[in-house]
Amino acid sequence: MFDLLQCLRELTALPTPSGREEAALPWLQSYFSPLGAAVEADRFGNVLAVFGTGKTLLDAHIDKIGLVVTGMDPQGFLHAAPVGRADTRVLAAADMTVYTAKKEFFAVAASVPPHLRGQTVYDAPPAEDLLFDIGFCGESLPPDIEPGDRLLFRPSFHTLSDGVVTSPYLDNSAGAAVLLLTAFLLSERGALSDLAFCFSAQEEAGLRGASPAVFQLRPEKAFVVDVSFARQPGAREEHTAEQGSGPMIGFSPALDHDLSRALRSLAEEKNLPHTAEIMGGATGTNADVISKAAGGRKTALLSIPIRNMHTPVETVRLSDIENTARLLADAIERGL
Amino acid sequence: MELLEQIEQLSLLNGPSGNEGAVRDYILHRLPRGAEAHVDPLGNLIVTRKGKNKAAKKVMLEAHMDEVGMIITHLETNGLLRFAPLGGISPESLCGKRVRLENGDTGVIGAVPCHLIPEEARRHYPKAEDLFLDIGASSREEALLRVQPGDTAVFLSDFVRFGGKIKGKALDDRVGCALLLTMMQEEPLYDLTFVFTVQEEVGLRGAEAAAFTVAPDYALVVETTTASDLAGVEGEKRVCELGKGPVVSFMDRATIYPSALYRMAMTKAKQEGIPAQTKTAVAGGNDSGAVHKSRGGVQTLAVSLPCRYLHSPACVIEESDLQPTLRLLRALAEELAHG
Repeated sequence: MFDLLQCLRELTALPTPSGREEAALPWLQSYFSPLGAAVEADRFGNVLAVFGTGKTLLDAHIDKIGLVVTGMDPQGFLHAAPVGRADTRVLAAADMTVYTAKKEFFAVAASVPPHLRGQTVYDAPPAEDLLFDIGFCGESLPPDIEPGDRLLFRPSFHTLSDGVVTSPYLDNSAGAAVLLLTAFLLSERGALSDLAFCFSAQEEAGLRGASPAVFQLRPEKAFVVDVSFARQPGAREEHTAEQGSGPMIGFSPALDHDLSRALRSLAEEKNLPHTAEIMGGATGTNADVISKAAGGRKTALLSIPIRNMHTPVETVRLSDIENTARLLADAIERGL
Repeated sequence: MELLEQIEQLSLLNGPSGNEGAVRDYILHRLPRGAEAHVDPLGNLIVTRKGKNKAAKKVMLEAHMDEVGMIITHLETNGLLRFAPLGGISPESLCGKRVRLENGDTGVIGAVPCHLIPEEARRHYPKAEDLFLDIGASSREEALLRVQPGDTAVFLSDFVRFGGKIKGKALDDRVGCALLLTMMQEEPLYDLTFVFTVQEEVGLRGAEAAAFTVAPDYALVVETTTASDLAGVEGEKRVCELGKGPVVSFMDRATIYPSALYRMAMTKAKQEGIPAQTKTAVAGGNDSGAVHKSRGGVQTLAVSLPCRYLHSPACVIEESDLQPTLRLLRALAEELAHG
């Protein structure tokens, strides 16, 4: 049995900030090695689980958007800079974890109060004014925290209703869960061959890990799984899909049109819910890089609609993860 | 029971303004012998505690039971809930936070992803009226099976001890409740009245009724108050600091405290070797605002624990401030009751 809830719970709590994804390897090894894959981390931090020739690539990024410690104040506050597109509107009073070489520390995200910044209560602090309260001060300052250490939202996984969960880092734990579930479905069908699963590093820092991975693997074809925008107030309808409406099949110049269409036909044939996500230019995902790196290859993109992206309260409907994995497993089995 | 454990339990109870029953029951279950309790029509809990001697002056110690929260105002057709804040919640403390509904369900206050809004909008916190509570319902019908307009919610926040500090929701003013509960377990030298009020956060409403009923000569309001002792904040802008003991206020936005009482408290702290500080800003307010105007006027003093990030899911206090606050309260209560 595949326990999706437990899988998501563990993935969202894995400390894999962009550029320091080491914790992914042992966790993914324990899943993929028993299935018969050769699992290793490459020099860039991508974790690759390869079956046979690995000629078809399945990619989901495993890194998490966070902050990097830039300095420590004797009063017990860390200064930090965002890694990737951090949303400073949702940081105040958020629970954080500081990951150091030796241990973890609890921290509360803080900032100088707006009236002292000469601003109104509606002004979010600029990134350089962010502070993180670690509770220690003066001589009790922990010696183990160093510049370069990372901050992530503290794990906090909750069920909202039957089949809907909230947690930080469903971006891209939802995508990684799709890959794990796809591997499970394919192994049940005895169709787990010639696939390379790539859990790529540093996507949030600017799609940096995918290219080195492709250079090594030289896949003939690629399927990228990421999250995208679910419908919610304030977001335009054409940019979003309702939660529960299945995978968003990407259409974009960066993606192979025939492959996208074939995925859509397959979803219709198999009666799987799905929507189309139309993007005029780049997709903003690893697909942009994977499609053109090392000579290029036909690439498709499947996205899971989540709400509140890049906040500590992202939400996802489990059926969207399941239906994305079903479509992907069917596509692999069919040899799309 | 250990004070810290009691603060943890009280912090995790849900008691938004107007819905303080869980906190009141918790306190009622822990009344010692020699304490007589009365619950007034608003839900204030008034406890008279016999001392070794009859008091010359009636001293009321009070703390409020309620916390800031939200009240559901409307269910949208898409299953999202509109809400109004209960109490003064700063816009920065709403977006991207988890909440617990009255029925125990979890919800989140979402934020439209920053990717989808103009650069300019990313620099501003959304207003409460533009936010929604998401309980994972996909239609109004589905949501109605679980919530009704008028239901309340509070922040959902773990209780964490870190580096000698405590982080939790509702430390304003469950810490005050815990301190009074601790004091109440000891037989005082003189009779004392302990009052646990409702609806402080929505305009000091419970305290007005309770102070009238109790009719004290003196009131000691036990609270938490804003500490802005953050890196980069200097001088009087820090207002008060964690780890420097209880805060005795001379004035805030709701009360001008009697100078004689203020000076007496500061002198007492010095005599007893208790660290104490004052607030270096005229800011905030508490139940004193209602109590000191009660009947013909009540001599009132606020004694507060310095607290960072007040009214957020992550209030932070310093453990080492707890015992000095207790000691100062005991000393003041005794001296005032002695007359």
